Amino acid sequence: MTGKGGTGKTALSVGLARAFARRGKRVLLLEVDAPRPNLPSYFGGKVGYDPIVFAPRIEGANIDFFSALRSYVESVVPAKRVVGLVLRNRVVKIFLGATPGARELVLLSRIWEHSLDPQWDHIIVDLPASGHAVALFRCPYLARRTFERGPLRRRADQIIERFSDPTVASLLFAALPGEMPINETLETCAAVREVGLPEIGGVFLNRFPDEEFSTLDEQFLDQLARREDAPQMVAHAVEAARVIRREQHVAVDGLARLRESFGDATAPLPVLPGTHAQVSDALSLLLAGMVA
Amino acid sequence: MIEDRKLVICVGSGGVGKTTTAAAIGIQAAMAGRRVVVVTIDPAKRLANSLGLDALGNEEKEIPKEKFTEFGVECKGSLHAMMLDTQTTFDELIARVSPDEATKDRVLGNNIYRHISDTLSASHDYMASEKLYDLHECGRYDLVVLDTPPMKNAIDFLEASGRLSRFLDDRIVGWFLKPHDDGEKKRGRSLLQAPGAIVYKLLGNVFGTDFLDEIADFFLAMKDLLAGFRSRADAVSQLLRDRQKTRFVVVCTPRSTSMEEARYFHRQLVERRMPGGIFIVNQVGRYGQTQRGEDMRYLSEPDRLWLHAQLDDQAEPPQVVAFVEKLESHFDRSVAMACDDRRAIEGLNGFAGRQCFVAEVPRLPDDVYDFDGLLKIDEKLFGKNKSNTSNLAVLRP
Repeated sequence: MTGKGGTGKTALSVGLARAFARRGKRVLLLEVDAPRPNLPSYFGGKVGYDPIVFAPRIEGANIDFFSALRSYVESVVPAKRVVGLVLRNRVVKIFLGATPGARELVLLSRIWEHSLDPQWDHIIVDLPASGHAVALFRCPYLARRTFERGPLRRRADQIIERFSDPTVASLLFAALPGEMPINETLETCAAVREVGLPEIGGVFLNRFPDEEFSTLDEQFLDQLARREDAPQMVAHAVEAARVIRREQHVAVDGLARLRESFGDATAPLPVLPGTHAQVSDALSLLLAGMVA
Repeated sequence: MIEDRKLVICVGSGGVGKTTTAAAIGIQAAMAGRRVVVVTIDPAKRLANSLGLDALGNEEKEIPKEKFTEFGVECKGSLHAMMLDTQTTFDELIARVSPDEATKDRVLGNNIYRHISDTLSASHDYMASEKLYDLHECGRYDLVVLDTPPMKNAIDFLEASGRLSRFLDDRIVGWFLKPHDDGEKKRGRSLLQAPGAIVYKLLGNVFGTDFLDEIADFFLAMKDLLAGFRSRADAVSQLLRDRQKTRFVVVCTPRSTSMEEARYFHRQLVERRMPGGIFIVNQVGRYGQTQRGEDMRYLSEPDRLWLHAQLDDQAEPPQVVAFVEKLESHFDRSVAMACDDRRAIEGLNGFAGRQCFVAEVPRLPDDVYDFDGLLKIDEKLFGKNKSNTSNLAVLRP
């Protein structure tokens, strides 16, 4: 699940996890290198590198870079003592922290490891903001171009093979109706298609306004907005309604633009009130049908 | 802020109106007589169009003065705009810090460099601050307004120059290059094995020797650039902390996620001793103070009668009744949302304290992606009478 900050990415990830769990599936929810993980605000408690139980059939984890690096090093160097030596090396630390693609590859490698674990029916990854998601998917190809052989090359090949399989992985977008969020969604979608992985699953358009104005309503609004003798409260009400109308226009345009790119896999979702937990619960009911 | 600062940096997550705010600040400062350049990262063509330009590129373009007069205002200074192109800026930087052509070509041709400038997650942010410094130094502008890349984590931008410095830490480069300073490309591998043969072998096992060789090549190519690069990174970092010259503006909306991010960003600025303290809250709901009548409705009976008097002869009675009901229910919702927004802003005010300043821009019924819309935002931010009543310009360090 990707999308920029504030688009409801985490709420949708959690809603989707709950929808799957309702159908008896076992779900793992992942955040990727989040400095401030969002999952605890839905389930309480703390989230760490190793999955913990959030709810019946739902577990969650936050893949932080240094733990993921340890996992990667352990998978290629069997001797525990040597693993420590590599990880403690200052050169390794700084250089991996800043070397292109290495960070992303190590994080992706951990998601790949989880994907091989048969206990999960579904793994939902709440990805970092859009641009970073593209960098994440690009890195195994980058590694493939850079390295002819070696362990990083092998891991990159394994990741590409698994995550480019549309029966294994698919990317969902969370978007908001504003012009800029729609632009970014379309740009990210195009960038991911260019990268070649993963398959684009669809897009959720959150906070889609439920009601539209009729042509007559719009005509009335425009006419009343021009009246300078309107009672003050009426003028305010008309102004407020015009703000809502503009937002609806933007939302309808946005939905149409998303449909051009995503086709039928475009799902508008209504504005949902309440706390994080209430929103994700309401979402899970809405999503249950789609999951089925 | 717009009268005495050299740099204004708009920060915040995506979709909060950051680019629009940066453009509005730029227009205001240009009207006040300053030579301004707005640097945006937003590829949306409509922003360029709204400023009277076909498109924005990596070169600054002037917004014609006629654009201002067209809307009844005067541009006493000048206004330029440009869109940041990370790759070009990075290449230009390499060209500038390279001592000679050969070094420049070697770096630009290196595989790792191409990847770094493309994917290093810090590079977009770093390049934004780099371009900022460049424009600030060039002498053509009194004020540079920067619209930073949208990001989940504000630290990325603030630490970008430091991270690049660390990456280019000579002790690390030294580890790869020792013991020779003037090693040729070919000698890189043998040199690598000399100082830490065991570590090298280990790293080779873990990451592949190809990888290490690529990196060694990169460092060899970069080592001549190192001094220039690092002094540049230090200068950028110093500039970002200069209270006389720089001001960070946190842009947000009253929505809870955005408010949380604004607070988080503010704390990061304070921690790093960077000059912040201004919040601009966009898309604020209006009419939050509206009182209900005795019947618990906002519109009174005379209001409804007035509406019917205007509309009754234009449509069937049920249609007019339905419209009036819709108007009332939308107003109800708007007022409720505006009350939420008010509470959120009060919360932000309490959090920010008295040294900080919170400015609001209401939700507008018209599109804000045109020049007129930008001027309306200016009016909300700075007041109608430019410097005196202005909301933000009264701020002095």
